[in-house]
Amino acid sequence: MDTFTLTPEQEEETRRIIQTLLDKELDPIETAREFGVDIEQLILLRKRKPIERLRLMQSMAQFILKGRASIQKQKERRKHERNAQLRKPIAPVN
Amino acid sequence: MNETLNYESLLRLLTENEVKMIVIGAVAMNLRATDNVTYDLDICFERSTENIERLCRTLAPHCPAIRSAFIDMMDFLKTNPKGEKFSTDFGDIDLLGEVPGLGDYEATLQFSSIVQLEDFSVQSLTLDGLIKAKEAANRPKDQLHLITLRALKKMEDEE
Repeated sequence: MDTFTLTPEQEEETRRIIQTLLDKELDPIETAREFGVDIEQLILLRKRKPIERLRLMQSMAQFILKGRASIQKQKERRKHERNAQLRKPIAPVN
Repeated sequence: MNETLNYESLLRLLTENEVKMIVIGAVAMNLRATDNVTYDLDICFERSTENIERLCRTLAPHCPAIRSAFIDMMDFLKTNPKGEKFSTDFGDIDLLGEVPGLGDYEATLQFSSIVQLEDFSVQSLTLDGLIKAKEAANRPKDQLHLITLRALKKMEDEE
């Protein structure tokens, strides 16, 4: 997801900080650079055709989703193994 | 979340079936050259009965929620401009009747232009439209998108 979870207080604080910078009416390219936006990457992307950009994003999103699904499966498997281990009968002492 | 993703097929399908719609959100940003990644396709559709029916008929074979409750979904889309997210064989799609900050399909059309995608084209928000919509939404993630969009707008203006 391209969202991130913030508490309402964090969200308000983040919004305030960014808004201060947005309101300064600095050069938009310099502002973006200051925020860590890769301007050179944007310049390269602009040179590509829209369909190329779409396919690039699509493959990145698919890659991330597959990765997430695989991590989820591993978690489920470990959970299952752990539960199976816990269900094993314990040999009585003496 | 849907694990399959193919915005290109989804857009082609909607275009071939002559659904009146505008690409908005992160896919529209991508078409205008931002470097974000998104996991759903957001569209603003025209809310006439004919178009909603066309939209539902197009998506139904690929979307169990619409297929199983076709009439209810049509009614829902007619009466709920804020729209709904649906899972399809090609990924999730967010269907909106209105775009915050821009308005309904007709109003949003003023802030869009045609983008050619190989052998088909789609109506998609322009940088100005995206900026206006992001300014209206104004969540931290929208503000961050705004920074990139304004930089791109400057590049476009300087050309």
